[in-house]
Amino acid sequence: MKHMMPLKYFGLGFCLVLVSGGDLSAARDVPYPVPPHPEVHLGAPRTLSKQDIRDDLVHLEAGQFRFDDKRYVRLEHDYLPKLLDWHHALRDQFAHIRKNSHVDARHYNERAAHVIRVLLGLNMRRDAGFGDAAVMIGSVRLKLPLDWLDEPAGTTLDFILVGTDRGYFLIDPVTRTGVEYSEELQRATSWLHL
Amino acid sequence: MALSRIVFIFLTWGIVIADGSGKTGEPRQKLEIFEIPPSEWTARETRMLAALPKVEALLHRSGNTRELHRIERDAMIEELREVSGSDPVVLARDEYYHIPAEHSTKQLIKWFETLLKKAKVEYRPEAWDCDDYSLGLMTFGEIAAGHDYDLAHGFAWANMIVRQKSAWSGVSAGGMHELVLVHTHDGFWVIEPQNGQHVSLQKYPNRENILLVHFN
Repeated sequence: MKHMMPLKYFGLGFCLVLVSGGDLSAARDVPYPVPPHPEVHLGAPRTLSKQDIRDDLVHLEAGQFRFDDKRYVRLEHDYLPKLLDWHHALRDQFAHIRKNSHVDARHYNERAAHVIRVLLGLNMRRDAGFGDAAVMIGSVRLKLPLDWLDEPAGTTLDFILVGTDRGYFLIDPVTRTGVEYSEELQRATSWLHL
Repeated sequence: MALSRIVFIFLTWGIVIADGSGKTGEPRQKLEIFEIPPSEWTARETRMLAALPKVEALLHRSGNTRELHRIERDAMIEELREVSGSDPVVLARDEYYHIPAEHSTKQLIKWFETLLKKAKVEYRPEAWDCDDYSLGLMTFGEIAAGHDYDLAHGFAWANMIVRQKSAWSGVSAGGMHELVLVHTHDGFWVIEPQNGQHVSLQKYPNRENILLVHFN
């Protein structure tokens, strides 16, 4: 499956240990690609409150939902290709996991969401123009109600949740695909962290 | 009249069968998936940063082999409640968790603090506040650990939200606060990711006011 191939490359974070047999006890510098500067949507409304988002995602039902911040800012939808290009540059450059790893694929997408959010947040922390708000990137876990490429309906997976000027979307960074966070997908969500 | 009813029922059933059972061979609904194509962005700009420290996990002997020690989720949660005196909401997806060694945890904290200083990271409400510091430290902990072991389970790192009744580690009392909790081989530690200070859970002043713990 497409999700399984990239398990050889656990691409996350920056300046990571290259598991290549070097002397890991000696600190050494590692280059990491700087993310393309996030393009924040500055149209009205400039920021959304936690309640606004909750009202938009009205079909979230049973499950656990965690909102870290009070206000959020959306990304420009056209920024997504650059975001994924950078994410893949990290994956390609830095991280390897051993063959025959038992790590479940689901760990990667949620972790990818964490890394993207943290690194973009670092990049944006001095930006002006949108007040004090967090970038709208999070993760969801759901049981697919329908097939997503090679992943059959009924599979439980994690996806990156992104708010853009065009709405709310779920992204699978491994296959570079996305879907609108529809009513059906919201109902299938057991966990959301934004 | 009776004939028209029969026709209506026949026609209705025909529609139900076509919609519901798929017996007519109509394709199932599909997700409207879109592709996110490559852009013109290239990784021209890079930054140099220190490599993440190696995270050592607790091992135990099993016969002639040494295996990664693991703690069972429910036991870990019970220990958390007992030691803290709190009854928080706990989110923990894995059934078992591995335990990082104390010295590895300290190295990782130091690495993170160095990173923050080098990048001149400062607190900013909402955009880079306590939950971001907390998520950052926990994320790098996961990444560092993931390089060294064939992990069947996550490491026992967590984000922790407390009611900040007492000031601690440079954060004043009042409101809610988020930090990092980790179960080392020496028990639970609480870490303030904004400055790297850490203390055992038994000595943490807000231990009885833990609201939520979200494990990796």
